[in-house]
Amino acid sequence: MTTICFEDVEVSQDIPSLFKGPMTTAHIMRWSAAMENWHPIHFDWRFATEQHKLPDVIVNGSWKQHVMLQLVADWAGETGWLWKIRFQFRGMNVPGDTLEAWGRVVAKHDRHPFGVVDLQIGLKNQKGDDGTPGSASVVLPKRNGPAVPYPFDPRVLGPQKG
Amino acid sequence: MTEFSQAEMERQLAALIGPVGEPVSMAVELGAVRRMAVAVDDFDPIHYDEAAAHKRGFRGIVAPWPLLWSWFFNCTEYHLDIEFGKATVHGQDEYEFREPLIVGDVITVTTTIMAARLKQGRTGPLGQVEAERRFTNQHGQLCAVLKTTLFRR
Repeated sequence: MTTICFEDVEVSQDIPSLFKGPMTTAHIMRWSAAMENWHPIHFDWRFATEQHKLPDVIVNGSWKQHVMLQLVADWAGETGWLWKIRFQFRGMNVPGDTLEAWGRVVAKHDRHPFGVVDLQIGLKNQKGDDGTPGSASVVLPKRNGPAVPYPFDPRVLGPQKG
Repeated sequence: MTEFSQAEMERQLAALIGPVGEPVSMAVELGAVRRMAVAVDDFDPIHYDEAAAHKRGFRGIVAPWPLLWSWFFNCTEYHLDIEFGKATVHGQDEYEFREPLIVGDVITVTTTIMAARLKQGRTGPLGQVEAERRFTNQHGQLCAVLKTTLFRR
């Protein structure tokens, strides 16, 4: 796992993508079982397609959230803290989809003694459709600065400059 | 389908604002944590190995954050009492993370409807409902806040 400091990050840089799939019904069922989410749109093809008029059984929204959390947490590394993350549900994903979780740095905020980095994130399928756009804020240590405390309390952040 | 006036739709939405039900509690189970991490091929050892989690500074094995939804599926029994419209759509989730859910923790969630308003959608009136769930552990620490935006149309 990487270790990054606030000073290492540049606005407009891409973070390493995370690839998943091709998705199968096994992925969906394993997640549903762990989550104990037994909504039939995730396992009953007839219910999903006939009653809900969906194209297939669909990938759980929370599964997609975890993938994007994994994307950002992996990038933040052991010394960063994934503070906030937001997702919109605009498109569905179905078995057969190959997914790329991606992220890009869009802003940096010096919140001495720490730094906060804002990212734009998304989850594209093999057609390039981004059905789960979102954003995230990560707290990073500064070089030669204190470690980001755990548990994280946003009161440790200095005032926003500018 | 019954037609509702704008005032009646606004009244139904305004009536939703406030606490929803009683706080509910549930333990963080090792099996669920492991199954969730495996299901997304997340092999970070903090989700499996207590020693590895301790080494990284955590109190114990760390649950994937979306385990928060288990409290929704298992513990919270409520529905939005909205008579107008045909369907409720899950539009957006926003998380704030403070303290991870650790295997063995007992997490309590409280749910509140923070705002509900009537907007004009592309195809007609659109109810927008903002729910906030606050998750605390047995030590009284705030673990996470989950804000969800639902649309009724």
